[in-house]
Amino acid sequence: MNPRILLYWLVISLPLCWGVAQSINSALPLFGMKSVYIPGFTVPPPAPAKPAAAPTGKAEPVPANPVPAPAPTATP
Amino acid sequence: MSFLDRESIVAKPGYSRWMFPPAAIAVQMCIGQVYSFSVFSKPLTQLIGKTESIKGQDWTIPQVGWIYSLALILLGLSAAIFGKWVERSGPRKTMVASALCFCGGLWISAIGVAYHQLWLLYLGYGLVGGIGLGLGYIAPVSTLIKWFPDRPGMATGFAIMGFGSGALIGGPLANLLMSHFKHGGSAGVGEALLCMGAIYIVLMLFGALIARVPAPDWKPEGWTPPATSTNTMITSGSVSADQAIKTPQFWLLWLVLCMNVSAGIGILGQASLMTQDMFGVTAAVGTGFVGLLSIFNMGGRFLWSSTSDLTGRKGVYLIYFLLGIGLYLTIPYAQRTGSQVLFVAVCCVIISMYGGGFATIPAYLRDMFGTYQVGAIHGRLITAWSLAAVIGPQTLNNISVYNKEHGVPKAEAYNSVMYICVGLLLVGCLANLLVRPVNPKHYVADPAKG
Repeated sequence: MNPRILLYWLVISLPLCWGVAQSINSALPLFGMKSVYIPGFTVPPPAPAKPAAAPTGKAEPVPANPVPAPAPTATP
Repeated sequence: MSFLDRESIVAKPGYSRWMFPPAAIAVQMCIGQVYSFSVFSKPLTQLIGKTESIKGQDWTIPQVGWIYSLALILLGLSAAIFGKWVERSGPRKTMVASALCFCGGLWISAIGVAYHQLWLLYLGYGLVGGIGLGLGYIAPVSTLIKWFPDRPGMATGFAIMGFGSGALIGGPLANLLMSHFKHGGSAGVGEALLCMGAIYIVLMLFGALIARVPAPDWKPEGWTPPATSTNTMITSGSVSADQAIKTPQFWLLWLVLCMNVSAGIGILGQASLMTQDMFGVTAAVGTGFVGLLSIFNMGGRFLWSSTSDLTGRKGVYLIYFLLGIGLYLTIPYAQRTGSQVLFVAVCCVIISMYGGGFATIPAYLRDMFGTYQVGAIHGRLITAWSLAAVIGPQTLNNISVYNKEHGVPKAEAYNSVMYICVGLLLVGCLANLLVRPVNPKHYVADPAKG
């Protein structure tokens, strides 16, 4: 096999695998597990909610995107 | 700049066709970032207030939402307008143009964030970036079909899968960069946009650099095109892009794509909220569910599209619609019985078929209109997606909100949305059943002369 084929596929596979790993990590809470946080590799957990946050009245509307991005999922 | 021209990138004998899919995927996985734009939505509304949005000074969610909508509208328009130029120029020139527009758009947006000028985001990400999206989306399609005439469904599945993977990479990457550049209350949005532009342009130019087109007389080794096609749904003629839009087949396929996308968005646009409302799970679980759906959205693009090489394009769309109808009707049942596992499984299959619909359509167009200007025809068909992606979520979201505000229990507020999706799929199914081979009077006499 031409080594260039291998190289080209490797270049695109690395980010792809990283993205899939991130998504699987974010999906762990769905199965009752905690997301793993590895600094610099996985998305950091969200900051803990402020205890005395002023009530805003209405929830912020969520923009209508076809595929909402996987956001940080580690439970605080 | 002649090294960008189609004539300069004709593959020499011995070039492996398996070197082209990475070029296509490299470009598509970058521009697919648009799917994860929502990660910037909240930070963009808190640029002045830092920790919360200040009314009258900070941008609002609807204002920010227009950046994304504008990008999608421009995606469809530019794909439709520049389709013939893309066919003439070849994949390398188009991929370079796409990289410059898309990454340039990210950089202009970063300036807009730095100076808090919303119009710069509309111009950058929405207008310039949107043109980059359209060019990049259709750039590799016709070349892939020419490299893989024996397996066109699988070939286009590669490219469109790359686009689906964009959200998997773009979302976490944006979050990582923002958390790295966060300082003094600033969310680091501008810096993240700058860095993403820099990363993406390297990957996109890599794709452009390795792109090659097959020689006109090239054929896969050991493969001979059937003299007369045994499958009447695969044309042996060629139809130009201008002529294609005058055929009923084009508009039927437009409807097929539009309905499939609209129904899929019914789930995708509300997936996180839906799980929380239906089963009372936490927001973290809801977000994890979206992550899981993204994997199925990506995988479905390749798997279903490859399957279409065996079943035929019409057959696979029939599966999308009929199986889809059954699955959408199962969701209210899963909600009533409280079966979260059933709900998750059903949604995953639905989203895999939503992705599959995108990936199968270029091969369907090739079957109907030939390879002559299939990229340009695909570009014009993408307006169906733009329309569905902009109007669909607004309509379907509003229905569930209306239900909740009018006394329907939260858990049941989505049932009517599912029934509407079934209606959309029925329309799509009917359109698919009406697709017949193109009348030979539309064929181009000599495709080589154009």
